[in-house]
Amino acid sequence: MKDHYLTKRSFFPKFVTWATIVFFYIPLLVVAVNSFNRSKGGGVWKGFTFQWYRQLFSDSRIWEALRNTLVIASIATVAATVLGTLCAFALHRYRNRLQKTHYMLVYLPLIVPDILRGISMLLLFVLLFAWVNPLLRQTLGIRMNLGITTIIIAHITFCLSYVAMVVLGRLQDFDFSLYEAALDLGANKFQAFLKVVVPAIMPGILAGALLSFTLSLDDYVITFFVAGKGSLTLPIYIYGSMKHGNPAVINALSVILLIVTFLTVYVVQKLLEDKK
Amino acid sequence: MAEILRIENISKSFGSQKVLDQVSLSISAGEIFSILGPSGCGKSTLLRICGGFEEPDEGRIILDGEDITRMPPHKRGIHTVFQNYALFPNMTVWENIAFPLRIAKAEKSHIRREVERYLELIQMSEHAGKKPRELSGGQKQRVAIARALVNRPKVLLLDEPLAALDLKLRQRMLVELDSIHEDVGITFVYVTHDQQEAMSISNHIAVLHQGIVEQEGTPTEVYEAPKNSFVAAFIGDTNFFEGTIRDVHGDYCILKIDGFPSLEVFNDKKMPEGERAHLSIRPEKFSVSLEKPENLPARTNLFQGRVEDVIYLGAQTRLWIRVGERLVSVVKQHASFALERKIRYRDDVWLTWHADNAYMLEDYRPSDESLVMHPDIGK
Repeated sequence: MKDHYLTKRSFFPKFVTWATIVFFYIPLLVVAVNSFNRSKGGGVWKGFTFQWYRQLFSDSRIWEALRNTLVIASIATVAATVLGTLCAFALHRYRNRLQKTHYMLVYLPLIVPDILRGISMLLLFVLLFAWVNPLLRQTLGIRMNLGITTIIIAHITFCLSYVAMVVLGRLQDFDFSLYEAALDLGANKFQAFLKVVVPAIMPGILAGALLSFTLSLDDYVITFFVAGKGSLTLPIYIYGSMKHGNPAVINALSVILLIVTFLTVYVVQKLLEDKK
Repeated sequence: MAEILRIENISKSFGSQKVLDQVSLSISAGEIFSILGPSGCGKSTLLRICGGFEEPDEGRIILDGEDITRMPPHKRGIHTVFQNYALFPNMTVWENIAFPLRIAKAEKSHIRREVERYLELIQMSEHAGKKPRELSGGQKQRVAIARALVNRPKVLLLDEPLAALDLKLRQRMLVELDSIHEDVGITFVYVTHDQQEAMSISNHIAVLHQGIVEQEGTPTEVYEAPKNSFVAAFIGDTNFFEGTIRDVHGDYCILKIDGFPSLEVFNDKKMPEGERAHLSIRPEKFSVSLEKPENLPARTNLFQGRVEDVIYLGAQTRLWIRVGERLVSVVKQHASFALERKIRYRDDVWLTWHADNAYMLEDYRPSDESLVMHPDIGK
């Protein structure tokens, strides 16, 4: 009786599926189409052109911004992945009275609004510089400023929480008797962690790293607060161009970014499949 | 035989609950020693203390003359076969078995030779390249055993190794375990709640109950001469009788039991007249017949009863027979099938039982009655 109800063909799932696809991907399609549109402002189709791509590749500001962004994202991802993984391991493994508090401390940055974190980071750095810069000037003759370093630090702090949460989820499925078995068979704690725990939670670590990379890549709000001279990043440049520059070039840039992102996800997916 | 592992006055509490209370055991090199007890008796905790995963509150663990109580697990010459096998899922069978040797930085040629040898021993050579998730329960079990043995530990701990397998496989693995043990000659400490497993595989058994060693001895000693009501009831099945000692004559005496015929019993504990005594009689020690048996040997007790329940078990039949105010549990082996008339419900039967075939308990706790099989007979 129930089978009949379950196997009955329904229009509704099909509708939802197509609506979702349209809703998700039409905006991306519009950007892609417009990147080949001769019209500068978009809107109407005025003929096919590679003009914006040519302009994109000859704009040195964009390349500087891209380089900065990649440097920041790479360093922040590596640091956040290592720290976040260790953090997840500690959260999972060591139990004490403050465990809930520790968990909250790691989890909280995920729900605090970006703008609040940006402001607080800026205040922290300014306070720190006011305190250490006189000392540095006297001893080494240098001073610290807002710039790429502060952006990297800020990015690590929020990426770390994402990595920790993703890896923690993976760890909760991990059978810890495997860790004990490794110890039992002669491995020390470090070897057991590296040879048994890490391979098992690798998909989580990779997912965390990927998440960190994309989050860092397109972060605008926090970066805006802690950026300084010579630390132009792509999102900040794009935002500026949309308002005062040439939006069509940005369309071209977006398409390239889109392709890079899809390729990265595809490669990671392939890697994970091989693992299994 | 030389002692390899000594467990000395080990006590352990979790919070206010005492899990192990002054447990002392001595395990000889090369034997299979079983720690047998119901779930929650502390046997797994004891094993984890031996393996180095828990620290005892009191007491010491001595391995081959060396105090290892506070030594971390990876430095002890003790390996464990875990109940869930704990095979590394990212490694093949071959790599799993090679793991302890690689960690110990053994030579490559040595690793290859030893892994092949153990693969052969567990008859898994053709599965060397498989990942654990492609294996059946029994195969996983064998790999776990080979992995724990390959680096030749001084002692191998097995934590309920067969609990996750079905009955037929369990029996086969038990035979295999025994032959592996003969091949490698390593001391096995075998933890189980299954008394048949323990009886069939061990040289010695320690019966653990509520954190206390109730009795230690060979399987025969523990079965035939249980020290107390727990051991008698937990290992196999039994009938308990309580009575007063009367008429002591030589090694024998008469036990006067309320609501039951008096029994002549072997008085090995040299109990004086008037003392209260508890007796354990195993169901298979009775013999039962429809006709009154003639020419009984001396000191054979004979009494009449009526069958109240019959459970046919194939190789044997379990009978519940009312004698006086008691229901007696009797197991009758089927020697011949066609010739004898079967005993049925409501038959009047004769029970005989020889004075030597019982054991007086040193200690009796009424709560252990709940471990004895009782018939489900509505009044």
